[in-house]
Amino acid sequence: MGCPVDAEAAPTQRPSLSVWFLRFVPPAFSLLIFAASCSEEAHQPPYSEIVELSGTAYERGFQHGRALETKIRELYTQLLTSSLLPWLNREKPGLEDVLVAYKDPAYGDGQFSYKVLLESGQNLLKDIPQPYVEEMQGVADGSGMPFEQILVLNTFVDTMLSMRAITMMIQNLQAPHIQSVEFSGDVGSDGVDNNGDGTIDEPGEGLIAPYEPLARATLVEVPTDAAIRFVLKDPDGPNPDSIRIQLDEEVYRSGDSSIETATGGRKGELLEVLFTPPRGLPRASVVSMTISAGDLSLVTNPPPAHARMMRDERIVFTTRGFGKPPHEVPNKGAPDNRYQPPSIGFALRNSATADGRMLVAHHFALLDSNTSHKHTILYVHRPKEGMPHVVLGWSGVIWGFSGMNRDGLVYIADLSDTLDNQVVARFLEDFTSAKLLSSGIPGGILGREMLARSGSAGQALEYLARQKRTFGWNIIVADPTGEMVAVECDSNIQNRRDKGFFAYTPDASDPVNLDRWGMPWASVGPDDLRIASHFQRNTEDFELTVFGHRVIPPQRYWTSFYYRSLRAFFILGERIAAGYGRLDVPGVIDILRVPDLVDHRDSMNAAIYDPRGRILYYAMGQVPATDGPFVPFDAGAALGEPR
Amino acid sequence: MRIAPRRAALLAVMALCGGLCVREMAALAAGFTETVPKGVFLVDEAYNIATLKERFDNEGNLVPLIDKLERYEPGGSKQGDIIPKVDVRYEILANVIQYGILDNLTAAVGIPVVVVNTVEPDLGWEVGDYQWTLGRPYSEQDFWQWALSMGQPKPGDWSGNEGALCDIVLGVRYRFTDSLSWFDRYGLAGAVTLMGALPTGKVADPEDIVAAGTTSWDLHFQGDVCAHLSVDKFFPSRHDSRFTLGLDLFYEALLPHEYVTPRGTKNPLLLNYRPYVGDTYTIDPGDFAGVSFQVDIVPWKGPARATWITKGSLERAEKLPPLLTLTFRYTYTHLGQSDWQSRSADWDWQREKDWRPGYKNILYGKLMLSLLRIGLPLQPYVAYRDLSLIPGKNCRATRVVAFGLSFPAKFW
Repeated sequence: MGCPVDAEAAPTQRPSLSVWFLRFVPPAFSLLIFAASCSEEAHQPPYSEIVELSGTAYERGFQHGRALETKIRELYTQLLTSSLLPWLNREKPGLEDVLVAYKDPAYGDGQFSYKVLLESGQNLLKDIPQPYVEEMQGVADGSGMPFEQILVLNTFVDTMLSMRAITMMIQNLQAPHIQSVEFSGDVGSDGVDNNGDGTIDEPGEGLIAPYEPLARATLVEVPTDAAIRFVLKDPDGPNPDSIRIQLDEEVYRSGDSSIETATGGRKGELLEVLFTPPRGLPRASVVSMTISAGDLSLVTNPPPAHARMMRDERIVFTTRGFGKPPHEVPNKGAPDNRYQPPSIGFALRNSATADGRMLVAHHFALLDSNTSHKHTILYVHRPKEGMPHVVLGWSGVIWGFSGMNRDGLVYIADLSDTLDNQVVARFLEDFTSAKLLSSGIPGGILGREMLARSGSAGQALEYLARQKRTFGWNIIVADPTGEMVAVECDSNIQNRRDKGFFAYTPDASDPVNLDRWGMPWASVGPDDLRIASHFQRNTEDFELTVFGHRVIPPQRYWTSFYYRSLRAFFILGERIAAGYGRLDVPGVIDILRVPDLVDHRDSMNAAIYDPRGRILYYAMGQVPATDGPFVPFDAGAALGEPR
Repeated sequence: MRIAPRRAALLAVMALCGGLCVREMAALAAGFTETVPKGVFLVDEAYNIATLKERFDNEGNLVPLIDKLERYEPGGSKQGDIIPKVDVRYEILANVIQYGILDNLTAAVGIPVVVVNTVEPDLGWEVGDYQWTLGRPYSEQDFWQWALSMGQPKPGDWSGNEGALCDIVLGVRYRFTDSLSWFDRYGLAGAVTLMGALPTGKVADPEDIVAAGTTSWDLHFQGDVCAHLSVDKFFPSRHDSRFTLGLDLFYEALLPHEYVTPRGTKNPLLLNYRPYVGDTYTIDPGDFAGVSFQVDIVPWKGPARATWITKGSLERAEKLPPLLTLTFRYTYTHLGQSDWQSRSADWDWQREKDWRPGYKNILYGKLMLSLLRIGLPLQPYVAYRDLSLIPGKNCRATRVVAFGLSFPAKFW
């Protein structure tokens, strides 16, 4: 074996070529390899951005569209085209049976959901203030997207929330529901007002019939050996094999010896469930019990096939020796990792904070679908007319659920599920010929308009009270003077005298701020307010009766937000109370990060506003938003001097 | 997937086919600098079976080829995770022809053709959150029923590319040290090899979520343009010439290519990118640079017989390649960042994150049987190439088995 070199036979020119190779090729290689090893590593693009907009509404919209063109298309495609629209299309067969207008071929061929949302958006255009219509047109022109798509992107939340509420209500009507709950034992002769009705040991004191979901304890001072009897009712018959009972954190299911069932009713529409806690009940304790069941039906369209399931109902009671009346025992419930907490918000001032500073905190959660968090934007608006303001939103969306203006006015908003909404109003007007059309000013645009037009919480409140609202909202407005007001509102489609608008503050000297037991609606002290995603004050938001029979009950009877919102609300109250007088920005961040208060799936953004300092600290661009840093933003510098 | 001609058959074999002529030659083992003698063709046919199930991530962990896909019910929490355990298999016939232009200058063409190409997605399921409307979390069956009602079928096994060409590779090697006595004195030889790929490979249908292409980028085996600088060290006077050591430095570049963005005609939920990505996008793959170390061992030279190949000369027969040659090679390849260029920075990032700078550690072994010494002009071999045994980073953990046969030919 040898080197294949034959120098003698080589032509005379070869050595010079070989030497040339030796001189240049190895260095050239070294350079190439060095260059290859220096390639720059790719990094995740920013999922949150600051976009500054100025000029007329159209100009600001155009700048918005131009700056975020691709992100707008991305959000629209991922959230709507690939997710919500096909998801909603599945509902067409069921809806067109009731709303015959949707049998029209124009709604076929997969166009149902888009047309429904577009028509609702177009209907909303009648009520949306013109500058916001122009701003949406600007976004469309700047991004090169059709105005219709931008309109849908800006209105689908309001439309979908209303539609979702209707769907939820219908599901609730068709699924098993609790008719009564009865506690065995001597509650009728124990010398205690167990149910908080003001009467002691009246006949049937241990029986709750009809059953009512409550934000407080259903019964107190229950004997520790009590058994609990439920009666469930369902048109198709409750399925005795589907019972699930969670006693605090312990789960019992059908088949367990602690659960006995008996079918009743002429058509088997009743199911009596007797639950005997195997180890009795803990003494002098608050006990939480969650009940769920399905029926004997099998819904196959839309898939997957499933029985009709009732909402998990949570009852809280105390056992003998605990000593508090029902209204002092919140329905906080036990940890249940099947559910995520909803949006929350709170405001603190004076004695609640370490330095008397006002702080307003918000964590909004609704719809991420692994998409929204990548499109979060802090918009700085410097309008030609109106007050400069900042708002936390998303690409292509001209509004947000929290913001602050140049004068330090802050608003935060959470949805509050209600059937007192404009889509229901339309349905009640036209019945089966109705379409799912929303109307009014979308919630986020209400917030923008408050910031653009109001210099104080009082002015914001005045504005808000006059507007036609699309849905139910819980809002806190606060300003640098220390004024803070919580508002619970809906669309008031039944023209109630209260106008579907309830405002309250922490001021305990004003009875309007207190419930019937003299407790503040949503404060643990004189300088705090909080909201979640249920009505604390507007508890009778909507009720429809036919011939004296309640057909549609208020929010607390059907919304899937109710119990998880209650839990978040009460835990938030505990955390605020625990830190009272010592809370500052890091302390507030700690509260926002309490695991029981964080939606790990649909968290969308979080913020803390300092109205006097006109600084906001925002966390967004990840899920949950609170997992990221709270980035300070000097809104004062961005918006100019206050008036 | 080892499909190209590069080095695969540069084990020069001096023999005659068809009794055209007889030529003296050195008995050569494998090496990075070997060329085919002037006027001789060397044909190499190899059947490659490449399997791919895993990749090394940015931390160097061996993980499934595709990350889990998180699925969410709109506003209704997590449905679950789709866990793809993708199994990709290519069976490729690599046809390589080398021709000796000069004794130290060889040209080669490699024409790889796919025989079978399959992709089995094997989608598993990890349940997500409890869905109160169902009374249970989504099972796998629940999820795919749900997806189908949204127009998204469950991706099934895929098979295709039968008879499809891969990128054709053209190459040339110049051993520039033949005239330098210094190299000869120390038993060294140096060569430069240049290669380029013709874009004859097939791009996968963009609308298919489970599919594979046959371009250099799809196979990720070598660059579109490659340059190698190699040195072999021979030991003619020691160990009975049974060892050869080789060192190869290389730089390879994959050229940017434009691709059509899917519209979601077949997979409306999973491949609906066009509205924000744009009609087309470009991939500028990261370049390769690295080094190979090789040792050729002759465990058995075998008998030599005077046959028609050597025109009855036993002396010549003893200079023919040994009956058995073993080749072991280790290759370290640095991988540059691959760059997706579309209208969407996030879409680009979602792809680029799996193609960040990294490296491959490749082990290669080959066992060649040369029958020339006993009168048959055939060299069957079996080879194995593995990227999974030594952890890499941001690379696929491919395993390739090749069964090949090379034979010389001379037509004029």
